[in-house]
Parts: sequence; C-alpha cells; structure tokens
Amino acid sequence: MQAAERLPSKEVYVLNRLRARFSRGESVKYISHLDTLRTFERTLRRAELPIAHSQGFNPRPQMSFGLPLSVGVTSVSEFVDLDMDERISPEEFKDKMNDNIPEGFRIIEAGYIDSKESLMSSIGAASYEVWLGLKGQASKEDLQNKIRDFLKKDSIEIEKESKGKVKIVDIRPDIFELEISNCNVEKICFLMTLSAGSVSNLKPELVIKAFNVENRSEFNIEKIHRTALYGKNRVDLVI
Amino acid sequence: MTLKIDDKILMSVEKPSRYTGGEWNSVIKKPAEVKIRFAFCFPDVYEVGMSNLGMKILYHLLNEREDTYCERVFAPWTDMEEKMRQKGIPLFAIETKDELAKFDFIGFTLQYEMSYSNIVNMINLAGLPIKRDERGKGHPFICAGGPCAYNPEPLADIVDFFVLGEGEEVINEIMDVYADWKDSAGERADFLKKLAEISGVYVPSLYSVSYNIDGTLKAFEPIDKSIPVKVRKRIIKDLDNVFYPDKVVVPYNQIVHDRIMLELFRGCIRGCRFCQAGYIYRPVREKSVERLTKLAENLINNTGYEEISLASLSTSDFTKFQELTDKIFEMSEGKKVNLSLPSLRIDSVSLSLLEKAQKVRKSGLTVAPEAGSQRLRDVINKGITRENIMDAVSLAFKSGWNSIKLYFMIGLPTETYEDIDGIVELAFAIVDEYYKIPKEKRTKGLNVTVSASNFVPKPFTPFQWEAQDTTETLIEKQKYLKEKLKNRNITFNWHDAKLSLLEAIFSRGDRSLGDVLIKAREKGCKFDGWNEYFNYETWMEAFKDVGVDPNFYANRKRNLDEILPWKAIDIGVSESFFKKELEKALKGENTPNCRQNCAGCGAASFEGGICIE
Repeated sequence: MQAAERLPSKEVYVLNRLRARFSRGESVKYISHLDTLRTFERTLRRAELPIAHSQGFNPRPQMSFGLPLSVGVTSVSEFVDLDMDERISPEEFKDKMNDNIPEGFRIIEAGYIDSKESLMSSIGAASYEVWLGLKGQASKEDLQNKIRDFLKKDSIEIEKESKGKVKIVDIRPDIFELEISNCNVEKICFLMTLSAGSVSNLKPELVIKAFNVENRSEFNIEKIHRTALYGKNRVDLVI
Repeated sequence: MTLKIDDKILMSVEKPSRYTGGEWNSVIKKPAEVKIRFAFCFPDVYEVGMSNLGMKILYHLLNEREDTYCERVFAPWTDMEEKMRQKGIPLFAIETKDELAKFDFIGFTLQYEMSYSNIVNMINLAGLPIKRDERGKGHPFICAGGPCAYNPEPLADIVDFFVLGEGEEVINEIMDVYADWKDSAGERADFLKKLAEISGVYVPSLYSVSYNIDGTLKAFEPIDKSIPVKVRKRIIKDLDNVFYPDKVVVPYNQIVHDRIMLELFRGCIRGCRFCQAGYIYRPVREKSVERLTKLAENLINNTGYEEISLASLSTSDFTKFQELTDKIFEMSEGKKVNLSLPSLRIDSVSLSLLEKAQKVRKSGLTVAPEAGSQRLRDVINKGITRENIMDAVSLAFKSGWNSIKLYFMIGLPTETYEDIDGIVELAFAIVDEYYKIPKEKRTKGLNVTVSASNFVPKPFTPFQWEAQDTTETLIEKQKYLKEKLKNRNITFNWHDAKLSLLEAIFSRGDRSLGDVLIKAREKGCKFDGWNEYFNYETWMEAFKDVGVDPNFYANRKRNLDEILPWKAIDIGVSESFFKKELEKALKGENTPNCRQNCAGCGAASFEGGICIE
C-alpha cells in the first residue's frame, strides 16, 4: 500500500478514471486536435483540478481523448478520459472545467468509469450531420431514391488519399446508416453513422465523394457536425 | 458591417485559428461602447506576434481603459492574404473581425527591420493610403514604437507618429489627448501638434530634412520653434509599481515562445559595443523578488501555462538571481510547471545554476563569445576571457552536457582573418576539452554548434559610424569558416549575408528609404524575415527603380561629424559617450559594466535604476 502511494501504479489511477463528454462549437472548430489537447491541459491547471501526472523530467497530465475531430468540424459528443489523483465529484469537475475553458468548449457530463480499456480503442462508430450545398435543385424524394440505391450496393469503391498515396477502398461495410433529414432549396442535410476508431475510420467527406461519383452530382460540404460517438457494435459509451 | 470570415476561406488556409481569435484571456468589448479603437499590429504572422512581450503588456494596458478597446492584428500568412485579396476582404482585427479603416489608431510594433515590407503590405491590405500625407480626415492615425523606432526615418513618410521608449505611461497620455481632440472635432494636424508636446512622441511631419549633393544629411530641423529639437525616450522609473499584466492571452496553436514570460528587469549592465539593446534600454531597472514571485504565481494561475521563462537581456545579471529562481522553482514545481532558464552568461555559470537548469530540462548550453580572439572581444567590450569560456564548458561537460552552442559575429570593426582563425581555434579547443574527460564520465555524442551572424552596425551604439563588410567579403569569410570547421563534432551555421545587408540599410537609413519600401512592396516583397520569401534581387530592383544606392547606407564609413538620420532622437546616452567608446574600442580597451563602475554614459539623467542605487 505504501509503495503504491509513493509511486502510484496504473491500477491506482484506473480507480479514479473520470470520463467526460464535451462539445466543440463554431467558435473553436478550427482548433486542431493537438491544440485541443493543450487547451485541456491548461484548463485543468487553471481550474486547479487534481489530474494525475506522468513521472519523469517532463510530467504530463494523464488524459486521453477519443476520436480526434477534424479541423472545421463541430461536435456535441467528444470524449476524454482523465486519471485523477483525488476522487473529486464529477459535478465539481464539470463546473470548474466550464468556468475555465474557452468559450466554444463545454463539458456536458462527467462520471467515473472502471474500464481499463483505452478510450480510443473502445470506439466503434460515429454519427454526423453533413450539410450540403448544391448548385440547382434537388428533390427530397429523388435523393432518397439515390441513397437507397447507393446503400443497396454490395461494395462502394472509391479512391482514398492517405499519407500521400492514393488507393482504392471499399467503404460500404463502414456505412451503418445514411439518410436525409432536411432538404430545402438551399441546403440539404444528410445524417450518417459510420465506422470510427482505431481499426477502421470512415470520414463523412469520403461518403459524400463516393455519393457524388455514383450519382454524377456536385454536392459541396458546407458543414459537418458530429452528433454521437459509440462503442463497438454501436452501443453507447459508458459514462 | 462586421466582416465574418467565410468558412470556405478558413477551411482552405493553413492554421485557420491564426485568424479566429477567442483565446482565453482575450478581451471582448462592445466597440459601440468605447470612444477609442486601437488596432495593435504586429507585422508578422500570428505565432511570432503572439510571442512578443511588448504586445502582451500594451494590449492589456490599453484595455484597462474603459474608453478604449485594443484589438490585435497580425500579418496574414501568404495563403490567407491571397484569399483576402481575391475576395476583397480588407485586413481585420482578430477580436471583432472589423476592418482597420474603422479604427482610431493603427499601432505597429517595430521589432526588426525586415518586417518593414510587411508594414507597408498591411497598410495596403487595409485599403489605406500608405504615405502619411495621403491620409486625411476619417483615416486612422498610424503610429509605431518598439526598438526599431529609435531610427524612425525609413518609415517617416509612412507613419504619423512614433513613440520612443517604454509605452506604459505615454500611451495613456496619448489616448487622453486623442479623446479631447476627438471631442473638439479638430484637424489632423492639430492632434499631431498636440502630440509633439508629449515627451517621447516624435512626429516626423514636424521636421524638415535637406540633403547634401553626396546624399548625406545637410540639415534636420523642427519646422518651427515650438517643436522640440530632440525627442527624449520615455522610461518607467519604478518597475515594481508599473502595470504588468497578470493574465495574458493563451493561444490555441503553438506560438514561437509558448510560455509565460516573466520580465525581471529592463536594460543591461554590459555595454557590448555592437549591441543596440545594451544602450537603448538604459538604465538598468530591476523588479523586486517579491513582485516577481507574486506575478509568476498569478500568471500561472490565470493562464494554465505549463512553462515559465525568465525574460530579460542578460538574465543571469539579475542581482538576486539565485533567490528568485529558488522561489519560483519552489512555487512552480508543485503546480507541475517547468521553469526554463534563458541563455546564461558564461562567466556567471556556476555549478549550482547548471544543476538547476538540468533539473528543469536537459537542453543545450549556449555560449556567446561573439568574437574569436581576445583582441576582438576587447574591441567589442564583450568582457569575457578564453579562460571563462573554457572553465564553463569544462564544467558543463563534467556535469553531463554534450551539446554546446557558440554564437559569433563576423564582420566586426577591425576584424582580420586572424580573428576568424580564433573562432576555429576556440571551437576545436572545446572539442578537445570534451575528449579530455574520461570516456565513462562524459555523455556520449558531442555536438558543438558554431553560429556566425553578420555584424550589422546599429544606431545608438559606438559602432554607429562604422561600415558593414560588403556582401562579398562576408560570404568569403563564411566560406573560409565552413572549410576550416569541418569536423564530425562541429556543426556550422551562418546567416544570409544579403539579408544582413538589408538590415544594415534599414537600421541606419533615412527618409529616402520610404519610397524604396513602397516600391519593394509593389514588386511583391513581404515576410523578408522568412527564408522562403526573402527575395534579394527584387529588393535590389526596387532600389534601382527609386534611384537609391543601398551601399551608401550599409557599406560606407560615416564621418564622426555627419548628421545622422536619428538626430532628433535622444535616448539619454550621449553622442560624446559613443565617440569615446569608439575610440576605446579601436584601442582594445574595456569599459567596466554599470555595476562595477559608472562610465558616465548619460543615462543617469533619467534618475532611475542602477544609476541612483
């Protein structure tokens, strides 16, 4: 027990693992993942919250984020796990964070979890609202038909650029849901649930690209908003 | 109408958060509720500008005023500028995104000469006339301050007024005068004339300049008797009781100096004869350990920064350096905040200091002998000996360092190839020193980095009359060093000699350079401090087009009785002192530092700091 106090082991930390869900709004959507990390670090220090730190010359706060959010994308469902030195109440954590975090970020809920699995590896899917602009008109019915046909396909192959290389990938297995939620003269909104996480991660941009190729359409993405992150088999993440 | 920057534009540029603002501790006010809007402009990209201490101080100081809203403006990176010009978006402030034409003041900070083209470009991007006499009713006033303002002349046709010295008091005096003038609905000229009554404000339109046939200045005088012949810089006598922000803006993206900067003192006790900073900030004034410790704690609590650094000219010269670092270390350690020690003067390096620096983070050790031979070090009054250098290096190697950076300058007055050989000899002696330590006691992998910058003669130094080496000579010297320093343990870096030439031109230039700047901008010069954008050929074309000889400013030895372009500026250090120092330099005589003995430079007339201790 004494040894654990001097040099807390992984298990000790895990007892105080706090998971928080937060949102990222319009005003901070251009902040990169790395910058978000730093923003949280600094917010924690301003809030004087007892986050655990790594050992060594350059102690780092023990926290890990879920799925990185692309620059320009807003979200109401971002997750972070934090190992605390002290078991403060989730309410206190939430309030103190919100008093010290820049406008645009907001902690929505927080709670202790007893999972040892890393947040990143437990994520399986994500839902998005994708707002599109279109030159000309599109009827909702027509679009619904196109989506139905799109999803009927066994495979949807599309060129994907990754690390400077272009390769052909089949994205069909990674599309769990795709539907239209809104359609008017100016804007169209697609709702989609896609595979996400460290194993396979499909970005909404690629789905729209494939949809455009398939239908010879020219939808431009105007805004992407993440509405949910799920665990494996699309169960809700514990919090 | 407030400009809302389009998502499409932001998504198409690098690091869009440079333009979006909203950072922690940034100040939000309603423009309609203030009388004065001040756009504080840094003529470089966000990451560079946000690292500037002066901007942090003045931004928060101006915003303390209820009648004033100060916002920040940076030079948009070239990708963003291109989009802005395409879409007709004028330069905007990042707080409100309002265009600069809406502001009362546009204030530039002049940190280095190579940002001047960006100043012209920013004024142009704001849609405003570049020359001051082309601006009129309804246009903002353009002002400038900072270290390069001590020779304001290259910008004298562009900027309406310059603020000399430390801004904390004078900026409020200027705002007060402006508030009254704005109520009076007077002429622009009335306001500028009123400003000239404030000590520390230089209004170039109130001085007339004439030239001799050879291009030197014939006369430099106020246009009438009510205007002061000399404008004296401002200083803050008591730094303990002057405003210093205890919260600073915390950027989202990583900036150049991404940490808390705690300013310990202003000025420098040394008097290295090439160094302008060593003279223009005189006299040395320190803050108390109590004030500094309190500030450090508040800054950590209010920013959440993970690192704090001590910022001053020769930081280890702080009288109670040991006590201060102990106190700050004690406080910051518990908050898991790193204390980073700045470059230390080699003769002040002690074992305990090295240990402390090591405890914080194991980084390289920097030594700045500036010149290779003792003779030349005496000429520049560097005040360190070969023995000092070798002792410190040896100590560092024994305490586990294996990386040493050496800073030198080439092209210093009186320099010969013997002095340059001294650089080589010193670098190899340091390598030898490392190998003298038994293998099991030294850290593996020695790296000695030798950096050679090019001497740029600066106004308000004993070398202000000296010529800069020609570009060809500098390049020859660099080649020589490169050849001689070939060794697997030595890395040699050098500065672009062509860039140093331009620095030399603008640092001692006169009013004729305004047209060159405007021409160079038209031809596309900007971000000259950035390797990838500096275009020497374009600059030379601009000189040619305007009919100005660049070498006249850089490579000509000036007569001691020549009228210098900064004639109207008084920094408190007398010209006779600089002449005396130049004479001593040529004889290789040292001048003791301010703490050892007063050299009678003239700064005592400010009745502050070390001069009255």
